[in-house]
Amino acid sequence: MKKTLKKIILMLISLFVMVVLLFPFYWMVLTSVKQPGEVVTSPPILITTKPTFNEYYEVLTRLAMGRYMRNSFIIAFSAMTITIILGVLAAYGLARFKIRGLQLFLILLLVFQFLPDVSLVLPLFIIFSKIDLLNRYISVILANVMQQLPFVILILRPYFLKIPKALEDAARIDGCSSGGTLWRIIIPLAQPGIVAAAILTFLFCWGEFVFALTFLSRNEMQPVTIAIYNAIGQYGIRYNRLMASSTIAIIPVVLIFIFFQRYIKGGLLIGGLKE
Amino acid sequence: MADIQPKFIVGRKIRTGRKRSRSFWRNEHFAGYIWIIPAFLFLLAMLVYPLLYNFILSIQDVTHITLLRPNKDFVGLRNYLAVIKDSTFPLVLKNSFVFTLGCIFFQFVIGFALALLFNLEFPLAGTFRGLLLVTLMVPTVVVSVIFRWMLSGDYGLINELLVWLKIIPRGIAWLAEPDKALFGVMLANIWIGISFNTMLISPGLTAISPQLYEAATIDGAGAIKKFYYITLPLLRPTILIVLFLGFIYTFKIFGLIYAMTGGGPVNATTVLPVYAYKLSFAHLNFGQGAAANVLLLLILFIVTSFYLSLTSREEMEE
Repeated sequence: MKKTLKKIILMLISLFVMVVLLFPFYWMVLTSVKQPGEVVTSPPILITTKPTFNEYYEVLTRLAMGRYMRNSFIIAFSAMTITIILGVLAAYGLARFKIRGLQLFLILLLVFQFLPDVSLVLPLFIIFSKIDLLNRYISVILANVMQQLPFVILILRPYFLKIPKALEDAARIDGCSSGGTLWRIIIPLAQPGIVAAAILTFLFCWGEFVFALTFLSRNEMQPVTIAIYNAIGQYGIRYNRLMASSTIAIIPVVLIFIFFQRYIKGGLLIGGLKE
Repeated sequence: MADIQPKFIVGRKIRTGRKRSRSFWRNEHFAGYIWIIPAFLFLLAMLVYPLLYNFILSIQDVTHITLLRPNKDFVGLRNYLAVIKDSTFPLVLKNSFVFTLGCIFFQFVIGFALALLFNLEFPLAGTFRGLLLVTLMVPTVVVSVIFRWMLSGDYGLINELLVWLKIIPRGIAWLAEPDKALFGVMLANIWIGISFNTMLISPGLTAISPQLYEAATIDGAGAIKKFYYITLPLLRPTILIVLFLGFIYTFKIFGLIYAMTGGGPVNATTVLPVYAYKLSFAHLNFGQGAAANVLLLLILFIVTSFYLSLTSREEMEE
């Protein structure tokens, strides 16, 4: 009895903590559906009785939010595809074969993740301007791949290490080429890892800010993060509009989070501290 | 999201080079390189080369006027001197360290507390822990606008709350006052960082054997003693890595601050990455921007070396 009571108290405390921590999201959504007169009030209105989707309509039509979402999708999806292809190949090579300097390569991949994006955006900007890649999706896509690839190789490699070598040898003996072995044996078995890596890459690219801000000055090419940034300047204190844009921008994030949560957790915690 | 990507965690199990008999060696030796060459070349062109190029830019005279000239003047360390001697540079450094250390302190303490809480047995503990991760997945610019709104001087939720609790007499324009703005951006970042810390500390806590606590209970140890003599020492490697990664990922934050305040008011929230970016893309002084980048990398390099030497020394002692 005492134990049950303790558990209930703990749960209530945690629930309170979670409500406080996740309150900013509630506030965002609430502000976005409030009647114009309810947004800036003192005391603040904590619940709305007649929600309006007017700002969503405005944001989607006048602000062309749909186009920015499409741009984000093009960038994140392409970057994810390239990263996963390069990452799977490299992780497989690093897991299965004897590579001279393996340690060094792995440490470098680890250290690459500590590099600030700001330190790379300047040289890449100048390089891209010379080869005329600015204001093309490919500039941001390449920069995103660069940023995600070391991480993807590092989280995929343990998955490949776990697959028994005997399975591969069996495939070889049955006449599978090494490419065929990768495609038919390794990739299906490492699928949870690959899905996790792909989802995380997509989400990180979806939220990427500094490369898009710098490389894409043409409004019609910009992703949703830059659209929101620009909306701050444009609509300053029209918070219901800003919150509507923000809500739209995180709908894909929330959907992916709901459907793939177990992959995300697994991907983030692979190896490492779990020992 | 981007700025604090929880990526590294992967790093620790990497030392497992496969051992193979020598007869296989030669054959598979070359085969292995074929798989890694595409990624290797890609990173060489898109990451290593730009880093070196950044270094070259930092010792040349590069402004928007000279940018497209094939030969730029070599200026030695003049860009570095200009950056360091700039009157705002001490403030930028101070902001960077106050922001980073302040954020780490609060997000570590709160994140640790939450990890302890969610490690206890009660219904929904796992769900809550999982739900926390969503704050890490949201684009940082969204976090920026939400907190701009919540910290707003007029009708901002945080002011309304503080006034209602009678902590402050009237609303504060958190992001518009030079002596308060840094706290404003810190609050937003701490909010993101809590989940990051909880996520990293939780597995370390679960790994501690419950038998240790049981034995301590039998010996009459209270909760505080158990925490101090069992949890903390066993968690030491986890804590070190969390603090180290926290430092690196917080020190290089750009987007969150840039979207919240643009570094203002009057440089009150200009941290080193924001400073470097603005030198390049607001003042179009690319040479000095590159020099500021190198200084930023240098600080991160020093911190990384310090961490590595600390952990490797401890490993040797064991």
